[in-house]
Formats: sequence, C-alpha cells, structure tokens
Amino acid sequence: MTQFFQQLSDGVVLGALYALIALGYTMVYGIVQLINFAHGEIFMVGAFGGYTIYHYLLPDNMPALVALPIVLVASMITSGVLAAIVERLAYRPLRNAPRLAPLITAIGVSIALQEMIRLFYPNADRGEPFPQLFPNGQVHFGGVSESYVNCFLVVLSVVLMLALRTFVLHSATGRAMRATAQDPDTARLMGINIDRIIVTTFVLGGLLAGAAGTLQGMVASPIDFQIGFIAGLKAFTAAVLGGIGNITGAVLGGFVLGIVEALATQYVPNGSALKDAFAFVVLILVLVFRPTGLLGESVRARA
Amino acid sequence: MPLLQATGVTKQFGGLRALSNVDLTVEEGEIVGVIGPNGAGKTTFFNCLTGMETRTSGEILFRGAPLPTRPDRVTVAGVARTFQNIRLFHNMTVLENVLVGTHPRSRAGVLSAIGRGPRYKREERKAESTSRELLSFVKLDGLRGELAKSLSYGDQRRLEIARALATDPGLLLLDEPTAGMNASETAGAIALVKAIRARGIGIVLIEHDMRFVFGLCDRVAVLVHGEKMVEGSPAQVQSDERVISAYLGRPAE
Amino acid sequence: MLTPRLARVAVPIIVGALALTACGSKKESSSGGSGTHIVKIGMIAPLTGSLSALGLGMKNSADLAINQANAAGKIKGWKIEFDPQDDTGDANTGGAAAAKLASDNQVAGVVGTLQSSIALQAAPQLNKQNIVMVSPANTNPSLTQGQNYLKTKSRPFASYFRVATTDLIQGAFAADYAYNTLHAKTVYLVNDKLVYGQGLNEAFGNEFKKKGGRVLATDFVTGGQKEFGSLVSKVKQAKPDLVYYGGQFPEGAPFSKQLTSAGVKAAFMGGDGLVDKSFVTTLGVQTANDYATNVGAAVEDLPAAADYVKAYKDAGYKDAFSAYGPNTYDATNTIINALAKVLPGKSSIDATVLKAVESAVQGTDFAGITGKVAFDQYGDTTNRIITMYKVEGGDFKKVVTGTFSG
Repeated sequence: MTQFFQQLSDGVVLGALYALIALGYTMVYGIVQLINFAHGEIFMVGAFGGYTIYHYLLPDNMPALVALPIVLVASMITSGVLAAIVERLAYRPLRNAPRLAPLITAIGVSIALQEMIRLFYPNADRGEPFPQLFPNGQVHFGGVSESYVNCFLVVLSVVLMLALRTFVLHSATGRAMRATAQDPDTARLMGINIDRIIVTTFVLGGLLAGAAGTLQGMVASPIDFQIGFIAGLKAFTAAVLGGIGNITGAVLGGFVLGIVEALATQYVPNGSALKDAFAFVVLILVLVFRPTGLLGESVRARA
Repeated sequence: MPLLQATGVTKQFGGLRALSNVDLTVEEGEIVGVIGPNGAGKTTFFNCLTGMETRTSGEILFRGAPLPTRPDRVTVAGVARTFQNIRLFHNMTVLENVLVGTHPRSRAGVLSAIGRGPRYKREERKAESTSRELLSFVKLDGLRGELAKSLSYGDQRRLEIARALATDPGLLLLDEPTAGMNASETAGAIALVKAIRARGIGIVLIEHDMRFVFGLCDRVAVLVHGEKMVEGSPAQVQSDERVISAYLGRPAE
Repeated sequence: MLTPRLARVAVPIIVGALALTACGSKKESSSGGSGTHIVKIGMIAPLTGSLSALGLGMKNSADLAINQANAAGKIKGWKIEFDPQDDTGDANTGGAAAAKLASDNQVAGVVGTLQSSIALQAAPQLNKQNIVMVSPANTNPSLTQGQNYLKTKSRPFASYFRVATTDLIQGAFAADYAYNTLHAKTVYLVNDKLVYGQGLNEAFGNEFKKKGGRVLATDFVTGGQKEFGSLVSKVKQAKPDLVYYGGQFPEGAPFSKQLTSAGVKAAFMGGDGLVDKSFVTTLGVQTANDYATNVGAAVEDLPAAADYVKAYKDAGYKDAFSAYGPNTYDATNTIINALAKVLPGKSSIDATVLKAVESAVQGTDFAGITGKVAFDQYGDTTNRIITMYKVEGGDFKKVVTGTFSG
C-alpha cells in the first residue's frame, strides 16, 4: 500500500510538469483555436535560456539557492519572449488564413527551433548537464519519500497554476482573455485590442513552459535539443485529455496522465515499457466517451 | 459640432451595393432612429460605423475627428453598440460582462496586474463600482453573480446595454433593442433609452417597432436598398408617401 | 503594412531550417584523371543527435585512417574517398543511409554502425551487394551468430565483421565482476528495448543466474525519456544490490542520477553504451557507485595507440575521439588493408572485386592499435578483451581489464 502512495506521489510530480506545459497549449487553443505544436520547443529553449544564464553569466561561487530564482526567471523570460516572437512572426500573419496554414506553420516552427538549438548551441545535441540548484535529500511522509527538488517542483507548479488562475479569473486582462476566447469580435467592440490579448496569452503560456524547463532540468538533467518533443507530446495529450481550451482541464489532464503513467509502471506487467501506450489508451477511452475531454464543453458555434 | 457626422458611406460586397452614399448626422444627446425593410442595410451601416466591416468609401467624423476603423479603437474613441442577436459573454457572470466593458477605460496594464500594485487595485475598484452602478441603472443589480446565459431574454438585452455603457460612450448604437420583447418589457426599454439620453449620450437605434421609434426618436432616417430615402422628424417621415409604399412592399422606384 | 513583410522574413527562416534538417550534401566524385581510380569507404554513424559525440569521434578516426592511407599511397593506382552518412541514432535513417551506400558502385566498404539496432537495418542491404561492413562498436551477438545464437550459431551476413567483441562476452564479464568482486547477489535489469540493450541485459542476467545471483525484475526505459521517478521508486522498493542497465548514456545518465538522488544505494552498471564523458558530467558530484564496461583495452594501456592519439590531436579535429575512436581506426584500416590487396591492377569495382575484398577481410591479420585484428568464422573479432571502468573524480577510471572465458 505504501508503494501505491509512493507511485501516486511520483505521478503527481510528473503530472505537475505535464500540467505546466499543457496550460500553454490549452490557453493558446482557447483563444485562437491553434494547436501550437512549437510549444514543446518553447519549453526546451526556456531550459537552455536558464542554463545559459547559469553557465555563462553567473559567478561560479554563487550559492545555489540565490542562483535558483535567477535561473528560473531567466528560463521564464526566454520562453515568454520566444513565444511572443513566434506569435508575431509566424502566426499573426496567418490570423485570417485557413486553419491548416497556421497548424503546418506550427510544425515548421517546432522543427526550426529544434534545429537552431542543435546547430548553434554548443553540445545541445549530446546534452548539457543542468545545474543542480537544490540540496540533495528526501522528504518522508509515512513510507513515501520524495526528493526536495521533486517537492519544490510540485509546490512551485501549484503556486504558478494558482497565480494563473487568479490572473485569468480576477484581473482585467484575464477577463479580456476570457472574453476574447468566447467571442473575439464582440471583445473587440469592448475596446479590447485582441492582438495584444493573444500575444499576452502566448507569453503567459511561455512563462509557465519556461518554469517547467528549469524544473525538468533540475529533476531530469541533462537537457538537449530534443527534450521538447516528448514533453510537448505528453503535455498536448494532457491538454486534450482535460478538454483543450479549458484551463482547469489541462491541470487535471496533466495530473491524470502523470498518475496513470506512474501506476502503470508499477502495476501493469511490462508497465515501464507500456506506460506510454497506457497513457494513450486512457486518452482514447476518454475521447470515446467524452469527445470534448474531461472538462471540455461542446464546441461553441461562432457567430 | 455634431456628435457624429457620416458622409457618403458606401459598402460594396462584390457586385452587391449594400450601402450607397448614406449620410447621417447625430447631435449631442439626440435619439435618431434608422428604419427600413429587412435587408435595407441598417445593420451593415452599424458594422461600417464600428469597424466590424470595412467601408468601401465615405467619411465618418466623431466629435469632429475621423473615427478609427479598428473596432477596439472605435470603442475607445467613444462609440458603443449592441447586437440584434444578443452577443454576451455567456460563460461569464453578469458583473464580469460589464467589467469587460470597462476595459478601454482602465489604465492598469498586464504588469501591474501581475504585481497587483496599488494602481491596479484602484483601477479595479473603480471598474467594479462603475459596473455595479450600471447594473442598478439597468435594474439587474440582483443578478450580478449569475452567468449571462442563465438570464431571461429581456434581462440579456439590458445587460448588453449596461456592458456597452461601461465603455463610457458618447454615442450608443442599439440594434433592435426591443426585438422579442413583450409590451411591458418594451415600455421598460423606452424608459431606459430616455434615461441613457439623460446621461448625455447620443443614440442611434435600428427598430422595426414603429410605435417605439416614432414615440422616442427626435429624428428618423429611412433606409431602402442601401440608400437613405427620407430623413426627418417622426411626423414628416410618417406622412411620406415613399415610406408608406416601401413599407407596404410596393417597389420604391 | 508590417505583416506581409514580416511573413516574408519568417517564411524563408522556416523553410531554411527545414532544408537544413534534410541534410544531404553530396559531392559526386568523378574518377580523378592521370590513371588514378576512386574507391569509396562509407560510414554510417550518428553524426547529429544525442549520440553524436560518439559518432563524430568515429567519423574523425576513419577520416584519419583514410588520409594516412592516401598520403602513403597505400593502394596503388587508387585514391580513397570517405563518404560518411548520418544515421541520427535512428534505425530507419540508418537503413536509408545503407541503401544509399549500397547503390553507389564506387563504395567498396562501410565502417559502422554504432548501434546494433541500426546494424540490423544496414547489414542486410550491404550484404546483398557484397559490400563489406566492419563495425567498431556493435556488440549484439545476433549480428554475427544469428537470432538463435544461444542454441545454434549461424552467420547471417557473410560481408559483416566487427572489431568489437559481443555482449555475450561483455555481459558475462560484467556479471562475473558484479558477483565475485562487488559481491552483488541481486540485480535489477533495465534496458531501452533496443537490440543492444536487451541483448546485454540477457547476457548479464544469464551469467549472473548461473553464478547463483538473483534477477529481481526487468524493466524498461524509452528513448528520449529523462524523467524516471516512478521507475526509480519501483527499483527502490525491490532493494537490489545492483542495477544493470542495457542502453546508451542519454537515458542511462539521468536514470542513474535519479536513482542516486532518490537514495537508492545499489551500484549502477552498464555496458559500452554508457562510456561517454557526458555520462560522468551528468552524474556530477553526487556520483556514488557507477560502473561501465567497454570493449577492448583502455587506450592508455595500448602502446600502439599512442601514435594514433598523437595523429588525431595533430589533425586538429574539433571533437574528442570518444569511446570508439581507436576501434574505428582499426576497422577502417581493416578495409583499407583488404583493398590494398585486391584493388591494384583492377580498373573498376564489380561483384567479383567486392567478393575478393570480403574474403581478404575474412583473412585479416594485422596488429591494430587495439591489439591483434583477426576474425573468426562468424565475423567476430578474436580479440575478446573487456575493460571495467568505475566513475571516479569526474572521469572513467580503469578498474580491471580481461576477458571472459566461462
């Protein structure tokens, strides 16, 4: 039974990471109906942004706990700025194009970012060890133990998710985001500059992905140019599982996916080999019985 | 200086001329009615004013300055509207709908929202008190926490008006404000429009309910086939032969 | 309007990046004048991707051997050109690279691959054209001894050879060391589901059980996986004395690291796939108990390798020669030596010539930098030396060199 709770706890750690990235997919989809396939790469570049600051700019003898917030913020800013640039250069010119055009562009941006990092960042192809900015050690709850850095990952993720929730539900910009998601034309007539709202949405998703970049780096060093692919795929699955476009759904989807993978690893025969297959089985089952995902609403007709 | 001065507004959809050379002037605090048969171009005219559609030609001055062509800037300049088929943010509460309307008048940016600075708090308090005041103005103060989609039809119309007023407009465009209303609701709407005028806001309204139009408006313009056929006081328009024939369905030519 | 202009900037960037991924710069070579013929030696190795550190060391070492042979005029009347192909660590890409080399009638030999799973795609295609393939790194037994190597050995590819010994030796050597020297009585096997990793796991497990040890479980990781939280918890619960990992360092390194930081005290051991500098750097300071075997002796123990190390340095290659550099140098020279025997006096490369090259390679017997280079009837090297390394002080430290003799 202890082991069950241990796996549950490991699943929550993994799920928190998935959820942080999934939020970017779901917010962007909610507002422009675009699956931003480059989001995994925005996460990956964020991890390299944090690494760059640590490796090239911070003094070697800086205490890890001082460097941590700097690296974290650097990752977030890198991803946030990159998300804004991608939106401006790649997606905005296609705002009124048929849906397929931005979708294909997204795949192109994803490959372009991977290749740029691979070609131009030293050692990005074999992997760079990410700095370990958190003390080693374990927290024990009953028989369950998690490393400090895993606990930090979960706590920080939850704090960021709550901050996002507050922002979206209770700030003027958050209200404008929701209004734009529901009806962009009417939102415009409320004086909302929806271009600015859309870029803000990309930036918010980028900030969270950047934070996830540093967290994944610390938990699962090294980072290489391909880490965005699997993380992006899992997070996208989580977003669809929760109901794409729905913020709470993305968080729920992330945790469900993480926990399913962890429990499958432990309890399904050959589970560690089949856990990914298992995650997709869950996705398929949910979509069969609830095509809109766990918390998704039926697709709104646009006036 | 007139509040709104539109001259020669023309809208061409491919080979179809939906509006041709429409002029309309609205003075401060005036209520102007726009009537005409279905398909006469009334809503297109509103869309051209608010930038939802790009006009083919024509000039629109608001308070003497050219009105922008982007919808959000039109609203910021001081022109607000409602829709014939109500377009609320259905999954937001009544209060939130009105708060969204205050958006162009809030000067707090994203950064101060994240930092929750004092300026942000002040702006939010101001937006909330404005919104509450508007909701009691349209008599919806008891329903603040309800989702917009759960409101009755008449309440939804009034909420849409409150939301438009939250943008602090100098001119309000109402697209069929009494459509689907019963007699007592219509009477309420008349009172509401008058009360809005009393706040110093000019109004242009599209209506099919003739008693409503002629009872309320200072001036009435008649659109037929995208052209302004007649403009004048309710009495002048009511007695115009061409208007009568247009409304009886005879060809206007 | 800004927007269309921005689009004009963005689109070429994207298109350009796409073009870069489809790398296929190809110099068509015509046979040089004045009676010199051109023969090509191909290579299939990961030149990009997470295993590129190993692949680039291979590429440079082959390049070095070929340059030296050309400079010395080793094949009379012929000049060797080098045609390296990138398999990106992916079996399908490697298969396509093999098809490309197989269809080039100037190619008389191929050095590679790094990974056994890719060799399984490449070897059949090259074998069909009678082009010899000499791998410096493949260790899965089935490549030379057939799928049923545990019961009946039968050689599947007459043109396939390797200078690395098999995992039967490597795994058994590791099991012997784990049981007798580390006194591990229980092991937890983990592999990456690929041919190499699974074979190594099996070879280790079989020998470990024979010695009296217990295999607690076998589990798996996925290529590209970096987060192993729940697998680590599963291993932790099983309390093994040793975790034996069959796979490469990009997954092995974070896995080992996460085991350590979760407080798992078991030793971590793997095969030659772990032997890369970035395995050590990823583990960082918290390295506790990590071992890896590599095929062949340590370079510093090979007096003949000193010249190679110096020549490699003098040539100014940007990348280190890595784990398989010396083996690749020998593998390339194996092909060059065979060509030197067969090609002089010939004017083109046809099936008869290729068959002759194949039997010349089979009869190879020279002193390479890693030791004597010769092949048995399966195409396996007769040099069965394995070295056990321990991660210490930020590098791999040799613990013991030897072979497994049952």
